[in-house]
Amino acid sequence: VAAEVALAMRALHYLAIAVVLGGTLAMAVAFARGRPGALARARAYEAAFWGAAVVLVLSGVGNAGAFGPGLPGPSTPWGGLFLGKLLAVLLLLLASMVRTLLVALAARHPAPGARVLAGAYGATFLLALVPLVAGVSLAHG
Amino acid sequence: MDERAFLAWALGVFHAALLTLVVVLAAHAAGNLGGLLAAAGTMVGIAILLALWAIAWATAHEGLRGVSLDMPGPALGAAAVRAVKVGGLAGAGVVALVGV
Repeated sequence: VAAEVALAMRALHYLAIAVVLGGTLAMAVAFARGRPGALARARAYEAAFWGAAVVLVLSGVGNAGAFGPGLPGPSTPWGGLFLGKLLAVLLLLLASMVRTLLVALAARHPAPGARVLAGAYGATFLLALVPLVAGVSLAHG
Repeated sequence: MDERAFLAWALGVFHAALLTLVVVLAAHAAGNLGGLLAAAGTMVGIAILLALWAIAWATAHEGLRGVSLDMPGPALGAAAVRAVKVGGLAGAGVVALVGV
């Protein structure tokens, strides 16, 4: 059963990463090109983003737990990279809360413009690449 | 989804995820993360995180009652005091959760 749970955790982790990367890139393009209805889609996407964030944190902790007491410490190269990944996720969460507030404010006047929202989504996409690259590196030892 | 529900959903996840990450970061930096997670176990760990998220979401929803992003200053101050009280309840809930 433990192996199946670990596999499910990994699958959920990858699915949530796909929602974060795919969604932020799509929203950045939608705002940059001034597509109609982008703001309504952004509000719907923000709900999906935070749903994915719950899954990411939960499955991420589950993945780390699969190592058990043998999880390498922070002084090892693997542990140091894992520490960097955790800090990158922390930064991603903080930046995402700012982006979500920008989307919430966008329904008001004066509202953040489409260029600001395109930048916020683009920045989130780039920030999310950091833990992704670190995670791929960690998975391959 | 109205504004309160939208922000409560985002803030609930944000608070729960932030608290979890800070605990995980501190445990890993101290070299205790593997032992901590092994002691909790996968299913218990998932249950704790889900309970933490439920507390954070419920208190964010309650804390945002009557709050609007374009409120005048004095009303916003009263809302902040109310949010601190609700935050205290959330903290008590988390302490109770850790105790269990």
